[in-house]
Amino acid sequence: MKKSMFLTLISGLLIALVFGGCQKKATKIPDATAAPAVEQPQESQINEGAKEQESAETSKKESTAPKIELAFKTVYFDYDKSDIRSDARDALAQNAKVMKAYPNTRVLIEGNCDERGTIEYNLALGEKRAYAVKNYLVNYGIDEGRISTISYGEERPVDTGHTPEAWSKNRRADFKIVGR
Amino acid sequence: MVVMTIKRTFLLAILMVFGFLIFRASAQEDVYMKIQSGGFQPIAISIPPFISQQPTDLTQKIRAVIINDLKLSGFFRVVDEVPGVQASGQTAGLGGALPASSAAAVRLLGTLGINGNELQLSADLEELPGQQAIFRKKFQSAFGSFRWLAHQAADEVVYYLIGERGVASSRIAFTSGKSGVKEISVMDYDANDLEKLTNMNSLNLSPAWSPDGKRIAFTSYKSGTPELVSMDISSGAMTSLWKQGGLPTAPCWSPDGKKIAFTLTRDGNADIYIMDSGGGHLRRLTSGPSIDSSPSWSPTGNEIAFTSDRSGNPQVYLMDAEGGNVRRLTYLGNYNDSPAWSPRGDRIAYVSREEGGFQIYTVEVTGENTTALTNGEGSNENPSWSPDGLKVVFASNRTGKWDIYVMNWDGSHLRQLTDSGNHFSPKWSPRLSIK
Repeated sequence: MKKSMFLTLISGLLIALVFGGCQKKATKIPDATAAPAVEQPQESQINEGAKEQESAETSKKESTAPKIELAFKTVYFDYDKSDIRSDARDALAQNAKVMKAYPNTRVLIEGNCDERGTIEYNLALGEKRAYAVKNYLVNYGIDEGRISTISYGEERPVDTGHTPEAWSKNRRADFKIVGR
Repeated sequence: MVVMTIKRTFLLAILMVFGFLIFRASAQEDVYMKIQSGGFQPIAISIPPFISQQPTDLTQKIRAVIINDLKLSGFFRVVDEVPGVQASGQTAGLGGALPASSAAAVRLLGTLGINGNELQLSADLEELPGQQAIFRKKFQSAFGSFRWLAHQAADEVVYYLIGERGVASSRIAFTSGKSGVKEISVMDYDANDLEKLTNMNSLNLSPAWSPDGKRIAFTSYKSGTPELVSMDISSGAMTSLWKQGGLPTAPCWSPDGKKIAFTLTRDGNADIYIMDSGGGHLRRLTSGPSIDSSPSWSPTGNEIAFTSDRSGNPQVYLMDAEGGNVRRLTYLGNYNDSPAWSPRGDRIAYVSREEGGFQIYTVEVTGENTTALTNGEGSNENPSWSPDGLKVVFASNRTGKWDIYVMNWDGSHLRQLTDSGNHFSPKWSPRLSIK
């Protein structure tokens, strides 16, 4: 009895989040001073918010193929840095959009490094990168409970070459879906 | 000169037999200083073929291992007893030119037999030419552990003539594997008797020996998320030390074995923590937004060396073991990491990033006398000291593959220990009484 009441309450909350959440975010993001996305024009964010709401509702009501694909973009970093690069903000905006469109999706952000650092330092740096990405998404309005992080340091290169090009591909944070 | 050295060391041996340990300690420092300054003359030792009731090849193997151990120690030249004849190759040489005479100053005689189910080596070490006994000892082992038997005999010879046990009875732990999967293995210090400790098909990183040599702590991704574990080497049983979130890496046991210092990255922020070596009682030593990592205890247990990028790039720092009195140790180069405090206490080995990769350096704890130990091709990483502080093991990709190498404290006498590639993060064990 208690359990079913609890479930009803949770479902109610979820529905409220799905239908109400995006509208709120659309107005909230521009004045969230902590959000690193403040450089982006407000209009486009509002539009994004509207689109998200639309797609979320579409997928909910009709369960047809959503307009926003459940796919995440990789975020790249500079050497020995964990700051979000300006060119990574588009990828993160896109990823945030996807997370809003699929509100039950939980992701694991995997921080990676190029081979040039030491093994131990790179493990810490990879975790710092993953957390920088997580922080960015949280500031974008994504519930931090949906985001976990891990670091593989320099242990999982996508390109095993020893060139600047290979290194730049390996300094990255990948998104992995761990629940939906 | 060599005669004087031998007389001194022999006198030292006699003193030790009578238990004048205080003399031993000071003489040991003297030997170390002589080695460091290059003024040490290797002792000429003769090792005639052992007497045996056992198959000749086993007897020869044991003798060959002892000869190799004594050469690798750097304290000996193995010679025939007739002056001017070198028995088998050069020594690993810890310093100084070869003396004019190669006449043996000491002789090791061995008799191999069986005692119950075990091999037994009776070894007599005597001074020449008078043949006064220095020691007469028996060493036992299972048949399959004949190399260990030889290592123990060799270390005893070093002990009686130098005043400090050798390091032949030690092992090296390391990781091996390819992208995304690394397992922990151990091998004898001379790269023989390799044993795989883990087979978990996951990342296992940063092995660290307990001071009693019975356990290895490391970071394992076996459950998908990284945790710090401690493995009992003989049984393979694992204890989880930290799996309460974050990324625990780079464990280092305190010299008394009671604590483990490690890097814990929580909320994206890497700091140095210590915990009890059985797990629990977590204490944080560093704070702030910089990456603080790779702790290494001083041999006294009073201080910890570590890496921090608080200055803008990674540099080696020292602090008290409770986290206070932080001071920067390295200033040359813009990426210094992997500090390893020498068991002698006087120097810290570390890696410094240069064009093309890392090179290994040592610096005195005062920050003076920075010395390059490597300067070749490729990257040279993860230095770890031998228990006597006279050698450094490290990983290098100088051939295009990652393998494990060892060199003397000053970078001389480089030897390659593995050659099959994909070997990383070597850690030299303490001296081991059992294997």
